[in-house]
Amino acid sequence: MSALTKLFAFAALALSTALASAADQPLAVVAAENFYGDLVQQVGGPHVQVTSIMNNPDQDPHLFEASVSTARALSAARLVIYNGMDYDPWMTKLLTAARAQGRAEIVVGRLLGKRSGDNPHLWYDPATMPTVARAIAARLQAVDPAHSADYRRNLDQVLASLAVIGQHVQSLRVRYAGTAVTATEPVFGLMAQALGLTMRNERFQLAVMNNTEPSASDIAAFERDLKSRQVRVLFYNNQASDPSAKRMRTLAQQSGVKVVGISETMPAGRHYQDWMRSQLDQLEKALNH
Amino acid sequence: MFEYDFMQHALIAGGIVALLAGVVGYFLVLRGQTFAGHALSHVGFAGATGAVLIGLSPMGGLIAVTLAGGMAMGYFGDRLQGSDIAIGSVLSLSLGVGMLFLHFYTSYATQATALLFGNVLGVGTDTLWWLGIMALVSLVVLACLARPLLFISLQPELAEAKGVSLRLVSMLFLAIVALATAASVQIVGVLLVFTLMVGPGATAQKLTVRLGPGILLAALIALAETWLGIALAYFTDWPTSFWITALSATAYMLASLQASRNT
Repeated sequence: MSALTKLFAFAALALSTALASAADQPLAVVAAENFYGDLVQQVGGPHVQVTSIMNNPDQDPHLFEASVSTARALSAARLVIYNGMDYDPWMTKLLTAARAQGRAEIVVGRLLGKRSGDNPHLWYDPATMPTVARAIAARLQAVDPAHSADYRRNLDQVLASLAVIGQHVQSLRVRYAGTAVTATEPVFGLMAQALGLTMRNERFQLAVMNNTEPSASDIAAFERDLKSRQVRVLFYNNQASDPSAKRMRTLAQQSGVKVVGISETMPAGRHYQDWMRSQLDQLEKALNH
Repeated sequence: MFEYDFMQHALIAGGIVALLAGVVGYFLVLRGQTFAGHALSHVGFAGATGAVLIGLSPMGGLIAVTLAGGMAMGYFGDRLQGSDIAIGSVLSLSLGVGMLFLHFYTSYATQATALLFGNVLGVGTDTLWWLGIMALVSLVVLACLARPLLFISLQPELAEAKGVSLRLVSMLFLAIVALATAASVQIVGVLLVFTLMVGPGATAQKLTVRLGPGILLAALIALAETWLGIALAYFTDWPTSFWITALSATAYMLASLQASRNT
């Protein structure tokens, strides 16, 4: 973001705080991750003003220092949504520091009854977003009952478009369930599970994500899978990749295993539905091959 | 900027950490053991991952292992010469053990690693009380320990001849450093703690050779750098860590120039 746009963002924020009592002011919403922010925008329409904190696929979400403007946005927010499960621990800390009255919170992990230690990439599970969308609509209706009908209508549209993704997943599942695949990181794990794919080398993926070294036997197993083409597809995290993950990608390309690039955070200017669809299309093309 | 809760908390928490780190850091710099400050802020990693592995609170593990690490550094490095080797050994061992724990830990280790990233903008009221108590305890113990500590730092042979145990005093001192780091790291972050332990103490020692004024000066410099850094971060929206490290380095360089001009 350039200095000028930042200045404008500040000015807008200051203005929105000053005018918070004004009747038709959009509700200030802060989303820790942009895919949740996008969903709030879709449900809220023109009645919400969403600020997403993690919005760039090039930054590593695990290493992130929140800035003052983030904390300030949280102080003014009426609704806050974040993943939880220690995926975004800075968010919990910032929220306890920046107290605000009447601020609603949606913690996606808690909403779905998950615990720290489970796979935190919940937005890759096709069952997650419909539940989250319903929760968003419920909170928005509670905070802003005047536009209740709009929120309900938007929610129906969002649920319909999410159902299309669900059908896509089902149709892929029918054709490809049981296919062996592998990945450099567990980002796509919940989606692979929903697709009925057999995910191999999970210990390697955990080690990469936890920033430890994969053990020698894990690396050997991974290489064997790629070289002997035991797996059809390698999912590769474009966003937070380390040297051993890059090596596996090269090896996959050399052995003729299809590489499907996925990203942890949604690319800017996209909607969640398009993002998922394009990744599923990419996967379908690789599996068809 | 005072109208926001998080800014008030940042200034209070930053202030407490600055006073603590400034005073503790003065002795660290005097003893030439700043490496211990850096090392101890990373040693807790093994404690956090180990505690998660056996299902205990990662925070308890972090404090316990940092404390044990500090005492081990003091035990094996009781003489200043070569003490950085003892510190380095303990640091590398604990990082290695932390890796081993993560290897055995077969799920997502987000809660262990989350502990290592504090942020001065994310401090709640409960944490402030807790931080204040830890700081007070550390400073009181340090005050009791100050005389023998100075004695063994400046005249180790004489101190030993007089029957002062180098090993005991250096262990106790590094235990205090460990407590101070463990308390501060997850609240304000690794970089800030280390900066405040090294910069102000070194700057103060360039400006005065006298002990009492030196300690006071180190604490005041740390406080000024922290508050100014937080204020600058507020107005520029750049990271707080950057501003405080920049101020700390600038102060040290200016003090060095001043000192070399005077000689």
